[in-house]
Amino acid sequence: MPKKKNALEAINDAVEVAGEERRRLAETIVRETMEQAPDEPGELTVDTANRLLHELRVHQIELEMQNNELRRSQQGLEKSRTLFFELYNLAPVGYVTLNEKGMIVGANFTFAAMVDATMSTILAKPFSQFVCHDDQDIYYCWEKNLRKKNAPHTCELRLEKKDGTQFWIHMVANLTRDADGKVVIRVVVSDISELKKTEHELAAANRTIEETSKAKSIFLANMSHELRTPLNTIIGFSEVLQDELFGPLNAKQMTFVENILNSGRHLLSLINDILDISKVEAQKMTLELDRINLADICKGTVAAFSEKARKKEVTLSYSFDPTLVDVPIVADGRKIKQILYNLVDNGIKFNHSQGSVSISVQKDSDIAIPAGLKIIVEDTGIGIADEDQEKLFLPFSQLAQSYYDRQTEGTGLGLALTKHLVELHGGRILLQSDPGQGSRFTILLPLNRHEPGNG
Amino acid sequence: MTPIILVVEDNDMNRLLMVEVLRHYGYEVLEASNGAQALLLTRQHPIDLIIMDMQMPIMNGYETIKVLRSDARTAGIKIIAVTSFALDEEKNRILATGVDVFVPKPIDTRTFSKLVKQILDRSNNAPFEGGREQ
Repeated sequence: MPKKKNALEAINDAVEVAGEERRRLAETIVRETMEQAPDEPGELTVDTANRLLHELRVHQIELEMQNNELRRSQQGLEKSRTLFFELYNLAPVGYVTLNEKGMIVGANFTFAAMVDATMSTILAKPFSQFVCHDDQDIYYCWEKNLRKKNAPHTCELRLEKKDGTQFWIHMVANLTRDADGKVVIRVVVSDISELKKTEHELAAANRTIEETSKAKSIFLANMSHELRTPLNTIIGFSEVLQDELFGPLNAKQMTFVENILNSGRHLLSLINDILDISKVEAQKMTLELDRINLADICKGTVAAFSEKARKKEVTLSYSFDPTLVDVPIVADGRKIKQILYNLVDNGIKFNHSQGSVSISVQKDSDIAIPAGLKIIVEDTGIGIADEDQEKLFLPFSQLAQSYYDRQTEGTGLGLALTKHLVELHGGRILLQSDPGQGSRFTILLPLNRHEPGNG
Repeated sequence: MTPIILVVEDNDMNRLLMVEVLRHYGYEVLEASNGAQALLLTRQHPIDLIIMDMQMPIMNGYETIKVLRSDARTAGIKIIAVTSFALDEEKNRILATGVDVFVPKPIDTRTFSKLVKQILDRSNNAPFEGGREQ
């Protein structure tokens, strides 16, 4: 039906005309389109009238449906506008749009509230006007980098309110083009004053911790001095007596002197352990690297503990991979010795009579530390329960206390220190142990890490 | 001729220990309990070696060594520095004074007499580290 289509088209064309005008226009359109119709019958028969009436009703319903659709889309628009207002203007962050010259061409209310200014005093102003004097350079660099890289970019700086109050913000932005194709910079501005405050508080707290730690170091150095002075007397005179420099001792006297000497030396080793662990904690422990003869150190360790092992009836042995004999090993010899001493000492201490402690040095094929060295110290002692194993390497740990309490002396520092010394060399210490089955400490050391000109 | 050794140490018992051990090995030993006393003795006796504790009241080891080294009459006396401060900073500070050897406390009476002999026999003044194995 071409007539009706024409009429609808005309209506569509006239959609923008409002009110009575629309009505008049509609009537004109009806008249014109009716007159145009060549096959329109001259008389109005009942049939024709009914048909027209029917069509009019259909029209009316169609129009109402269209009307509803329009109303709905208008409501939708209204909702979108509210949503936009809430999302943009009342967002919990500031939004600013800058033009190519850094002028503010748009901002949300949150930003206006941040700088405590009305929209009219913000728009068309350079953003730099709100940046505090000391941070202008930061802003300048940020803007420059933004243009250069054409990628989202962030920075932290201080803005200034009208009254001169400064506050920290974090800015993130990207360079894009608006609907007209002009370059614009869209910036998200977040107030990070609280964060900065926390940062400052943390820094202050850290300073306090550093000062405390320094005071602790000084205290330890002094304590070490105060303890060493009388120990010097105890150990020195015991040695002189034991060596019978001033005349012979009887058997009982000799035993007593030996007891004094052993206790004195034990006290000394405790002081040294405490001092070492505090050095590690203060990060003052450094390595004195040199070519070392590891086989000699192992041999020396076995010799140093042979007496102690003999008394406890523990067999002490060591093996050295022959392929390693000519391999240069660079490490801190004194500290490697300390590691071995600690492990062997523990191995004997926590052993049964007729038990054994063995040191074994091998080439390590572990892929984690390639071309490394493996030192294994294994004992047949009391072993360590699974749940205690991870606590074992912590200084002054509860385990260390209960572990050492009963039968053996010690500070519980030895293994913590050993772990630190291994790690200082870039290595790792592993423990395999079952209660009653003994313990196996494996030290993995990188071989060429410290080799001058070779690693 | 018997070498003359001056032991400078403020702790009476530690001083007694060193004096007794050195006398046992046949040295002639003088003693002082602070740097000022030590300086006085160096003016009165031809001293070959000084065992110097670094921490002392009245005049400590650092001040004493400075005076000794700046005076032509005493600049050549060999010095073994003894300290009970075990931190590395202390060790470096002592070696910087130009002493012959640095020995941490407690001293090992068994190796100490050997060290003394070694230093007395030495003609050059290159410092090296000695003392007890820890």
